Amino acid sequence: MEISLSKGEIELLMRLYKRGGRSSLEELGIDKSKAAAWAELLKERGLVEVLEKRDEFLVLTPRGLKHLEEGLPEEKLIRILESRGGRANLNELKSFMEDDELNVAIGEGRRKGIIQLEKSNGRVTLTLIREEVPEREILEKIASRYVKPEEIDKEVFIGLKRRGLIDVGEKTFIELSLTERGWAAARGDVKIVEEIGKLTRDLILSGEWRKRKLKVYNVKAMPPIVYPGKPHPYLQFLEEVREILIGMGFVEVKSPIVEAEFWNFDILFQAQDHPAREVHDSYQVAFPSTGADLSNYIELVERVKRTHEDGWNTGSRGWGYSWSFDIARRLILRSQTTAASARTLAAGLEIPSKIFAIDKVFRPETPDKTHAIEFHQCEGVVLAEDMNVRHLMGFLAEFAKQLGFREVKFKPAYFPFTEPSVEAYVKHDQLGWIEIAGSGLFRPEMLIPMGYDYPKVQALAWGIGIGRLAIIKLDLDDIRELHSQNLDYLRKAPLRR
Amino acid sequence: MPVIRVSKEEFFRLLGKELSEEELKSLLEDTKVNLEAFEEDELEFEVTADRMDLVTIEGIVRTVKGLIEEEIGLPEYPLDRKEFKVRVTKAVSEVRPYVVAAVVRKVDLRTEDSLISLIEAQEKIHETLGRKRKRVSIGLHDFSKVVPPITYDAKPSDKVVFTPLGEIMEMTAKEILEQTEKGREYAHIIGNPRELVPLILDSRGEVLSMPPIINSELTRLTPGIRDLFIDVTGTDLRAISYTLEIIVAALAERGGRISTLEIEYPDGTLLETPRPEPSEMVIEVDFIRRMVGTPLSIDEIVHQLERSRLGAQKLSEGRIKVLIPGFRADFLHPVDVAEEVAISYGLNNLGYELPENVMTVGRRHPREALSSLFRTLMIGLGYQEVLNYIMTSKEFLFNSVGRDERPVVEVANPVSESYSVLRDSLLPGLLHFLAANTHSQYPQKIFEIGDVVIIDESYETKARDERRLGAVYADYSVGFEDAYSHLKALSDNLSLDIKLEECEERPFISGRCAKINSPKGELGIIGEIDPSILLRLGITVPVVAFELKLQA
Repeated sequence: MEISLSKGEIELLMRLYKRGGRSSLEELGIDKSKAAAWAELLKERGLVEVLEKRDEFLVLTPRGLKHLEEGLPEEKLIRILESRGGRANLNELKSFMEDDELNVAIGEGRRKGIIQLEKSNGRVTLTLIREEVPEREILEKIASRYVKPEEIDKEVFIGLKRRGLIDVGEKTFIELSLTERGWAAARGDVKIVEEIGKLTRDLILSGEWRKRKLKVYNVKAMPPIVYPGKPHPYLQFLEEVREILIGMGFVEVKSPIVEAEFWNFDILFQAQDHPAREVHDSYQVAFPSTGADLSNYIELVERVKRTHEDGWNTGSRGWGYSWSFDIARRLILRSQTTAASARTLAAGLEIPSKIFAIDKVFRPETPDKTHAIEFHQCEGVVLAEDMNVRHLMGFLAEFAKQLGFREVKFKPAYFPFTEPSVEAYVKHDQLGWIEIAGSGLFRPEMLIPMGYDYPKVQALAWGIGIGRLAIIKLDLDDIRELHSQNLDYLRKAPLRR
Repeated sequence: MPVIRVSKEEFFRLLGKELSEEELKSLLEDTKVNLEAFEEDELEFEVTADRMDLVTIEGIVRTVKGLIEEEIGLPEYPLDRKEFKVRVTKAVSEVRPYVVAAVVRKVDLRTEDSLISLIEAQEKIHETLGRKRKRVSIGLHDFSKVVPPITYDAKPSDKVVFTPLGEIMEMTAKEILEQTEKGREYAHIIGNPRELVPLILDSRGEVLSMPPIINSELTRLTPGIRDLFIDVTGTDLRAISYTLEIIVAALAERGGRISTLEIEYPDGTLLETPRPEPSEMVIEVDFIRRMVGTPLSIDEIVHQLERSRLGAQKLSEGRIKVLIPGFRADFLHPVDVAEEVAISYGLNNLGYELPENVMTVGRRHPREALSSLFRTLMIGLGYQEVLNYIMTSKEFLFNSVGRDERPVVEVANPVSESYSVLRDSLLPGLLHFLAANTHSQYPQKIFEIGDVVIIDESYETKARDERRLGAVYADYSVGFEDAYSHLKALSDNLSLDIKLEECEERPFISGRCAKINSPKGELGIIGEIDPSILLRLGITVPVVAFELKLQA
């Protein structure tokens, strides 16, 4: 009869044999994680029995630890008495020790026969009798190694426990013992053949692998965990959205983070006293403190000014106020990706064109579960002849479908730069109807100053707070988790499929 | 969006019939008014910001009457013209330039709820359209206490004495501004309280109000009031006129009879308020059909406009004259009429379709295309992608990671100091990320591809975005060579022409740091992070890092 074992298994078996056939895993002197794996394999072959055992042991409480370092109250008392020639009266002692501590010291001292008390004329005198305190040695022992409760004197144990200096802890350990078959193998009654574990180049080249048995692995055993390099789950989602839009024929556009109010607001026909332009709703730039340079757009700026003031030749009444160039050139942080659409449209686009932007925007919100000071917006524009509100809803429905929503409905809305304005809602299995996009047809007051032939040419536009959609898709409940600082979360988050 | 709560009993009394929650909800489903709550005693509505006429209970009732076709077309209110003058002095035109006013008689405000809802609508308008009374403020007065004509004047604050609403004693305007709650809250709007304050005065010289601060106790509204004088003052004539129209129309819905007044400005201009006639817009029917994408008949369009409480007259088969009441300020252009038709017809009834003949070829922005290539390689090299904020603080960017401070974009109105500047480098965020994850298994290899913002006077907006890649690699044992081999893998696979050149830069270890140069200029930096910085961040393993500008 013979059995095949790996080198490691043989080593463990022989060490266990040398220790009398029974030992805890720790005491074998083999790296614990390896020993545990080998023991499992030996157990499967019926050579070793593996038992998980519990053991009680003593631990010092924080108070016990303190007394060990600073001395027990009775030890302090002994020292004081020694320094005073072995005798002192109680009132003297009170100036050396706190009342509580002195009471404990006297109580313990009398119980253990360390001191004697005499009372005469109302004065209490203490006399030192013995100087050793047996508890010290025990506390030191407990502090330095595992001590089982039964190892120490029962009365001392009860005393220390009562004083709150020690406690009973529990630990689990693994005990290995040889089975009958294990004994036989270790003694040599059964022949052991060394198996090959990990194949090596040497084993292959030498032909050794042919002579010996290849160890049969437990293929169900868990391998070590490795973390691959991978994309951020939210950015992966944004990439998917990008893919959808590119697939629908949209060209991606960009605009700067530090932006002129002109591009973020004025060109969108948002009046200069519009609430969105106040300090509560957009970040104003303090440095650099000079305004934007709009000298490349003098004609456009003039047309926008007149459109705000009296409608210019857009057929609109305009907002009827005196438009300020200084406000238009103020620097802010981009508060809507519509600025990117506006810059691209103003530069002149072929007809038809479709553009989109996915980028960060900034608003002075107080951060909470649903608000962030910077978040991504996703914006799309279809510029073409003869577009109408039904086409707008058609694009929104198609985009929603691509994002995995089957049902869609629309509601009228108000946005300063679109008319008609429409909010799109989609049906979510758990959450019901959720708003996903604000949209509309760009107003003539925006398109005509840019040089487009309104109403023949129309621009369908929509914007999505894509972060809010992402937290639904990624099953998160806090928008701040999109910028998670938790590496374990990122490592463990599965890729979206 | 403004939210208003109204008494349910009052609402249905004004409507003249009861509706169930379901009926009311489905009526409003496709409009700019949402029914948010239908409670035992109250109703709650949310309206869009362009429809301030709907912050009054009467405005919503008027709309619902149109939707159920109980009353359609332009609401017509009885009107007397030019009852008296309101004279505006030169002095006040420099303090708070505009005023409009009206008188409305025989208003039914007999219930307590009706008076409360009027005051609430006033406050709602002050908050939104009125920009906290700066742009618009409304004064409502008991007209029986007023002796017309009226003067809108400004006087030194210590020369004006009256009893403000809610007080029992006379006070000077200066005292009101300095000592009363409303005075302190709104004094900043009129500037220096020691100087001129705007006043509405009657012919006896009695102060009716000191806009936008407070009315006089003299003209306090009391339950059962029938005749009201309304003044609206502010900085924007169009906004105050619109506000007056909203209030007057709401009172007219309660049976009030309107008297217009004549406002006489110092330059002699005469303005009749509220406007006695609706404004007109002539619309091409084909324009409406083009916008809604449906060949609606002209009669259908007229009908839908009338349901929306606009006047609509067929001028020919192709044109309609639309009459717009003064309380609707959302008509700037014919497209606004087209939207009204789309809403009244119902967006969801129009149906939707994808257009034909708008074939275009999509593609990603070159910056994203390039980022994608770098991302693929970094993932191949075993790095985890992270996403950090662009907004941060100077402490985070510089001192905390041992970088020398340099100019960065700063905002004037940060919500907190932690988010007050824009990052000029990705490394600080990555180092802080490592610091937040010292309990997590090493090696830690993380990267971010994102924008930083660099001050650049030559750029239109004085700062330019720069797309960068930042990478950090932390392990029990890691060195310069590890970072360089990864950087080299990037440059070999993307055919970048880069050369390293030793440099000194914090927070890198001197002698283990290099600039990444290309023929086009400096691209970035690579090196080992100074252990004193690592320890300060609580990181106890070595860290190597590089940051690279992405250039096509």
